[in-house]
Amino acid sequence: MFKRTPILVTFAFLTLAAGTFVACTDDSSSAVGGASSGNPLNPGTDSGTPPVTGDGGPGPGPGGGCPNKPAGCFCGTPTTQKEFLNRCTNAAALPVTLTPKAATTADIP
Amino acid sequence: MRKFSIIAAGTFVSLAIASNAFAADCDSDVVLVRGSSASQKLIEAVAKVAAGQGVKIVYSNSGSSCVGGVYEAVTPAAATTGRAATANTAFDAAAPSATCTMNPPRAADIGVSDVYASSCAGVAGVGDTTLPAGVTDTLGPVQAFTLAVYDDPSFPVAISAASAFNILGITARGGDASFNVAPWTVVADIFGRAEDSGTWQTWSRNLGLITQKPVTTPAAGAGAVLAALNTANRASAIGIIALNDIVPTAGVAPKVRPLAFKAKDQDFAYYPSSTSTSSDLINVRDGHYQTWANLHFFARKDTAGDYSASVKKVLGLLESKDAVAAVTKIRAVPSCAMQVSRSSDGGDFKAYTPAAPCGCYFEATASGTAPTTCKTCTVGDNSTCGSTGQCVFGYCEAK
Repeated sequence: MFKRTPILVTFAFLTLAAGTFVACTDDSSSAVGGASSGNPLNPGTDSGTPPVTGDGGPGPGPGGGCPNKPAGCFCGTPTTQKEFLNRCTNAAALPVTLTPKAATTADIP
Repeated sequence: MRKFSIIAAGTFVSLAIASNAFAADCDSDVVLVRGSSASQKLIEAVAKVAAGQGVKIVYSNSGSSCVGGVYEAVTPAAATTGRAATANTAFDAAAPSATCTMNPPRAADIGVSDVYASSCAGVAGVGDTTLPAGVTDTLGPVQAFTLAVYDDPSFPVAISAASAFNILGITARGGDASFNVAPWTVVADIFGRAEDSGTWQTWSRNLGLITQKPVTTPAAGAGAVLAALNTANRASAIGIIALNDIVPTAGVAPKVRPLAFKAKDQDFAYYPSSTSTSSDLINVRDGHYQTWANLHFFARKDTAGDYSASVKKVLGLLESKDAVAAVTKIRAVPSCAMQVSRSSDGGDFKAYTPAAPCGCYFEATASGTAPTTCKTCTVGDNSTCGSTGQCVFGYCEAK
């Protein structure tokens, strides 16, 4: 019993550390969208990760730390539009499952 | 007896019509503000504060940002064409609901637009949008613009930019039906605005739509969109409207709610506030909710480079504590509570630190309770806020 405790503690620590690493992505790339679909709004990103909801409260303001949610959020100091839009927050984050047909302004008569 | 009643009723109606049709001339010393329909509630909020300080504001709803605010800014003040003379709403401390008529019509002292002047280039007869010498653009409170639906729990709660692009661009232009996005598949139930509307310009620029091709049969104003969502085929109805137009009027909340919005390159959709029912507008303030714009207050300086005294007072009131409180209560964001800024409509965000941040006061006013992380202080005494803090409207904020 006494020999197992350090192992369990170590395992728990590694699990938490790995979880933190996965949840918080420091993606500083300024690249936008994924593979080009011809749609300037990249509908391919409409679905994916499960919903993560928050219960309100202020976001990661000065000195507020990083709440590490929703999944894949950006924890650092944002400098690109993509980083601002995906910054970690306590706010409710809703998945959007609509998959519209790819379109461009050229399709508008 | 019956004949007398009919005559009396007829007289009453006649007097009522006459009263409405022949509103008194506006006082000569009013500050005439002309602007978009979406800005009206914000102007009312500021006007009530100004009225308490002896400045009378008359608001003329031009129906749109470009026809009103930007036209007033870029057209020489001496021009007589395009100047509205219809009855306006006057904000006088002694008669807060009075109306009056500008006689003769004249240029507005302040033109108010939801968008930058450049967004109106080539729209509704506005050609060159370069601001003339002496005309300034003061950024005011931020409005969130929403895609809204009738408030039925079975209706969707979120929408992506790609879907909005198709709905406002393809479907409403009568294009290929395969671009439709359920349940918003009926062209007649999609309520947009005309190309001179700041609401349309903001949405189209954020979505990458063609700004001069608004949806078919645009609604006449924010009120028309609100009414349409309440009365049309509700399940398939959707419209664009400023968040501050979806607020209770006379204690009655409209049965319309904003959708959470997922922008291009964003992984999730977000409401303007942290949840559908909260009022902190944190996602507008920190850049999670993409579709917003500052109000622009265009004002003229005289040849000596000064505003008139009353115009100067109105512009100075925009960030006053009373105006911040009034703006907050109608679900807009004073600039001092923003954490991001943008220099063009639909442009990318930049981190923004106001000289005197007011996030704590904003949230305390919006929700009735300040966040637990906020510390109270005495205005004028920064000592309780530490070396890096300052006391703003009774709360410690970053210096």
